[in-house]
Order: sequence, then structure tokens, then C-alpha cells
Amino acid sequence: MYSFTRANKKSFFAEDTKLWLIFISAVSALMILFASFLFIEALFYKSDIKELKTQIIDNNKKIEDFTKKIDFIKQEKQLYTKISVNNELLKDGVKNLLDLIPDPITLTNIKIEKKSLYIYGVTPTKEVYNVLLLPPLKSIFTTTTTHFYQMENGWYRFESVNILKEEQ
Amino acid sequence: MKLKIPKIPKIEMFGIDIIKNMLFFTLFVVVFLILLGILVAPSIKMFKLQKREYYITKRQADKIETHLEDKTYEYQKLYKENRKVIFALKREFDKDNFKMFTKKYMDILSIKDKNISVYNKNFIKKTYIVSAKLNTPTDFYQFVDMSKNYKNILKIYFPIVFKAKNGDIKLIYKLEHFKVK
Repeated sequence: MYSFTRANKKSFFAEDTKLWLIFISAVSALMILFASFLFIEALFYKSDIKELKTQIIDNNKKIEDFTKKIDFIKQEKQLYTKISVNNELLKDGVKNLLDLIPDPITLTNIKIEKKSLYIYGVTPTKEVYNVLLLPPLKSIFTTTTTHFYQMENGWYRFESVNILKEEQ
Repeated sequence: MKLKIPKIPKIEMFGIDIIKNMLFFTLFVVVFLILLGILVAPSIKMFKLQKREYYITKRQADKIETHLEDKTYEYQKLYKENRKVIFALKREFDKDNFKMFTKKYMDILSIKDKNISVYNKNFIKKTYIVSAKLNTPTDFYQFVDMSKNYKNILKIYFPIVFKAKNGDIKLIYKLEHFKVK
């Protein structure tokens, strides 16, 4: 049979079916894209967290190092201060002891130790020594022992041993 | 026996197949819910969790960073203030240099090594016995005063002996040199 009209191309899907399929595919694609975007962002955050954690560990280590260094400098400073104070006290101590010696008495030797003082010298009389030097020595030291040796000119050579007890 | 599937009645309104469209709509809702449940919701959850953790970690990192900056500043300040002491504690004791330094106050006759010991775990203490000649005790006081400006950390210690000798004073004292271990 022969037809005067040309046959229309018939689609596998109807028009409305095609529209639905395109719509569902587009929405699905958008949702997949959105989920992927969030997933990638989350991965970036995860990587940043890892980096931050490494940074925290490094910085904590640095803080620990600095704390050690600071403590050490403080120790050094403390040592310096202690030595300076010690030297100052030693100087004042020696100065005060030598200032104790009255003019008529001449020293030949003086040995200063941490807890004791040995004085060797010459005094015109025992009284000069006993009045001018002995009282201040007695007020400082726990025990004071003095030996006198008469010289040819009548003066006295003396040896004074002064001890400070531990408690003081 | 032949199984006969009941045919879905075709209901049309203005040429639109209502049943078919309703089925597609249902399919859309199902696909939407499945994707939402399987992909989008877990992604949002994961994203939110990571974001929250990131900001917590960031806050912690910032806090530690500030603490580190404070410590660095404190260290630099302390180092600057105590530069002289830090360097002095690193130097070796030079006998000749010490003799030169004390020349103004006394003539050093000898410096004898006595012993070496560890002081406070981190320092080394070297002890010397110094024998010198000076004119007056004042020179000794001035020397002690000036020793704090010397390039080493020195402690002058007991026993100290002053001995009159031919119009001069012979001085013997213990000298301790401190150095970082």
C-alpha cells in the first residue's frame, strides 16, 4: 500500500518521559556534586587539622625548649647574683675585721677562714690588747684564745685564735 | 494457564498521562531520598564534624602559638638582659689575662690549680689558690669590687691570709671560677 504522508520518526521514549528522566538525572547529578563538594571540603579540613596538630606538637616542643633555656638563664643569673653578693659580703667582712684592729696594735699575719680567725701581731701592752681588741672579738666569736710572748723591747707578740660555732 | 497482568488504566487530563506522571514523581522522590540518605546527609555530617574539629584545633593551635610567642619574647628579653653573664659562664679562665686585670690592684705571684668539681649539676667549679703582693688592704677591696666586671664569673673565698712582708702585704686567697658544664 502506498501512503501519501511520510512516516513520523517515533522516539523510544515519550516526550514527558524524557523530561522526567532528564529532571531526575539533573537533580541526582546536582546532589552527587553537592555531596562530593562537601566531602572534598571535609577532606581539606581533615588535612588542615593534621597540619595544625603537627604544628601544635612542634610548638609545644619549642615551648618546652624555651622553658628549659629560660630556666637555665635564671639559674645562671642566680649563680651570678649569689657570687656577687658573696664577694660583696666577703669584702665587707674582711674590711670590718681589719677595721677592728686599733692603731697601737700591729698585725704581722691574719688568716680569715669561714668559721675562724687567726691573728698574729704585736701589742705594746697586754692591756691595750685586752681593752681595744679583745671585746669586739669576743662579741663576734664563740671562743677567743690569746697567747702573749714578751719581746726584748717589752712589747708583746700575740697569737689570737677565734672560733665561731656552727649554730652561729 | 495464561497469566494476565492487569493493565493500568490510562487516565488523561488535557492530554497528560496522570498515572505515568505520578509514578515518575514517586520515582523522583525515592531517588531524591536515597541520594539524600546515602550521599548528602553523611557528607554534611562529615563536613560539619571536620569543620567543628578544625576550629577547635585552630583555637588550640592559636593559643599555643601565642604562648610560644610569649615564651620567645621572655627568652629573648632574658637573654639580652643577661648576655654578659651567659657569655662569662662560657669562657675558660685565662691566668695571664687575670694577672693583667689585677695588675692595678696587686701583683700576682702565683695561681695554683687546686681542684675541679661539679656545682649545681650544670656548672663546673675550678678552684685556684692565688698568692699576690699588694700595698694596702684597700687594693684588695677594690679588686673584689671590680671582679664583677671581669670576663669570668669569679668567687673570692676563704681562707684569706694577709701577711706583712718587707713593708708590703702578701695576700693568699682562694679563687673559684664557674663555668657552664
